[in-house]
Amino acid sequence: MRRPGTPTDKPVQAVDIGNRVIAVNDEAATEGVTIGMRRREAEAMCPVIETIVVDQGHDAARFEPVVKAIESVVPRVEIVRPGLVLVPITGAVRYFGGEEAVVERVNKELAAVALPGQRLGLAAGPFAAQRAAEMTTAQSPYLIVDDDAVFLRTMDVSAVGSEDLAATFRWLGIGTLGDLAALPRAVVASRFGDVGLQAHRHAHGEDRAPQARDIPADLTVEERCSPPLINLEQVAFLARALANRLMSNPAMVGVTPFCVIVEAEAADGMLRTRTWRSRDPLDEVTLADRIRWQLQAWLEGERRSGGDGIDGGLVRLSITPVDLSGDGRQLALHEDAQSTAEAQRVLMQTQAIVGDDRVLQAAPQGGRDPVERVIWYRWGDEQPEGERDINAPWPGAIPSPTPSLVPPDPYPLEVEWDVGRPVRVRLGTRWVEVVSWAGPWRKTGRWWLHEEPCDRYQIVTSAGAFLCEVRDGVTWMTGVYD
Amino acid sequence: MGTVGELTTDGACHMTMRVDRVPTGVVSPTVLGNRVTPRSVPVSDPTFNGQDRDNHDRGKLHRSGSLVLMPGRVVGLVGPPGFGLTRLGLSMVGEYAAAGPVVCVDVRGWLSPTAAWEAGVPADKLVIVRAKEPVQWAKVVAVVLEGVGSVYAEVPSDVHEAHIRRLAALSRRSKTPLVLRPVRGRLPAGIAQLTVTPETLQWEGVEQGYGRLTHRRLMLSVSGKVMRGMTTMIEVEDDGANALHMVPGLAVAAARHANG
Repeated sequence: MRRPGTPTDKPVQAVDIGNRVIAVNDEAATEGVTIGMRRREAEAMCPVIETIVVDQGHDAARFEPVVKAIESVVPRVEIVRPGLVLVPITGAVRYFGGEEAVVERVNKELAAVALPGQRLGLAAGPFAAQRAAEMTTAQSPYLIVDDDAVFLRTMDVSAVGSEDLAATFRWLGIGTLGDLAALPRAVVASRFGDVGLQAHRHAHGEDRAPQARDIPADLTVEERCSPPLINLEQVAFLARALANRLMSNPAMVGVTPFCVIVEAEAADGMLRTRTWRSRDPLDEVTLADRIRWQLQAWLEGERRSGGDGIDGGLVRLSITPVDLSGDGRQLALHEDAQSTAEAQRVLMQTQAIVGDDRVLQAAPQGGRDPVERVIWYRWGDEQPEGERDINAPWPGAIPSPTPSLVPPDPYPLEVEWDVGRPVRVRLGTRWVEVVSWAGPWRKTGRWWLHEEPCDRYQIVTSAGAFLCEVRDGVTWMTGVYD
Repeated sequence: MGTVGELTTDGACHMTMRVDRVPTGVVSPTVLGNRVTPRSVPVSDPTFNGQDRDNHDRGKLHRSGSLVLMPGRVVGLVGPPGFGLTRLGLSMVGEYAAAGPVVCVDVRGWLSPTAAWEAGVPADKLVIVRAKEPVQWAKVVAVVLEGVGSVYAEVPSDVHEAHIRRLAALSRRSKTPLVLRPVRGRLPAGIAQLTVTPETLQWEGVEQGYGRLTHRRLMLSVSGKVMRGMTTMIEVEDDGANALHMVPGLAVAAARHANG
């Protein structure tokens, strides 16, 4: 996206409100100006450089015709930022009879409204599609990717988005996304944490799976304005209030939206809707910004096309979160990024001392016995899928409370029985009396897997309570209620 | 029994509410040499439905009584297995899950995550480290004390006393609460600011061949520097599915010996 009036033969830099360089043209890059540099530093390096301060609201307004043009071909356009949109085209491909037909149609519509230089990438996931769009040229303005993983394989590892991470990968001899994808995911996750895991997913052509597009109506926040709002400052205040109300909703505890629908109703009854998506979770500030940009885009866009903004003013504004995820959970009161990093560091150090397979996490799953109800995995690995459904009824399961100590394998226990009643239990060198007991609870094993049936008992002695199994007359301890 | 009212719901969460309960059986005033002053108050939360465990006020035990696990404090749970000390310790460290991972150093490989979840430790925060060899165990505890929310560590029987003392100092310095649970025997003197020893245990729900374990009543002897040399008797109720409840003000014993 190019701002009109920008000189094409002079060095130009775009800076954000923090005075960091976020974009440069080729002339500025030749002078040594790089993205991420401070504005003063860039100006010292290239005194003739022209500086443009980014105004996302203004850019959104300039971008609005582009979004409309795409929407005339494919609905449900999702804006990531002014200049970048994601368009789900599954339905459009069926309608137009092929991917190429859709892309050519979109390209034709864009040619009518956008400045030269639009780029289109088509792939299964947003990450690969964006990389494909970046690889296009003026001669071939679009690129269709058949297989995301194959397409990404030869790409430089800097495509993961983090220069620090890419530098570490290169230092380890991982030069391309294909090299990264070849590594076991568990190894990358345990070494690089969430950032590495995300990079590995991208290298495989996988993206964060968005949730189904079902709009939870109860999470929608809405404000009706009477009298109608007519200037942008009023709308900006309303946007901030709505963002605050949405993020303070108790139902939003532990989750954040990655995608929101902004809907505005004008006094003349016209309804405008636009979807915004973010790669990072939206918080109150970023959400309010996007609402404001969108309203500014509608307002300025109408004026630019000869209208008078939103006719009669804004009478209703609503925000609906669409893609909710726990990935962007806000940190807890006592939690901060530094302590999280410190905890990861010490746990990795612990792994180095005792070995990877001795630093463990566990997840609940279905089962009848305490040992069956736990699925173990190494710390840093992804939580595996449970073999047994935790929501299934599991009749015959040992009721709560569960034993605190569960031997990995049943432990032989010497019990003295009197006509089917436990009388004494041998603990070490001494015998203790059984105070009370419950059972037997018959457990019938799966004979086709050679599981033997057994009788289970809860035995209470003066030295504690035990969970036991009796098989072929032999008693085994399977848990201690400590 | 002196039970004026009792509310009971069925299912996994066994909830009781008692008014003016007078301890009976082994925890009766007679057995304790008339050192017990029964003035029990209901401590269970009748609004808890057993489902929303995360939001439930699970810290009742520790906030309302002497079993307070403060940052940098070392608590020793001394006693044979079977008296509920593991669950007590897990419940203590679970209070610090918001501050970071809860690390349990498991010496025998027997620690059950299910019990930890029941005691209030979120599954995603629980990290179990298996370390049996004494030197390795000391290294692991020293490392995790530097950067996690809280540590529950079983103590191998042959670990060197100097290592434990160093870990206690490290816990104080890093402000990480540490619960030590010796697998066998006692902790060296002066390590723990709070030492918890079980006195009696009473299981309920199981009879002669029928019923099931529902909850236990545990009488604990609490002593140490935090108690200013006094030894206090505390009764704890544990219904397995809920947090532990302490019966407040049940018993305050006279000092048996100065301690530190």
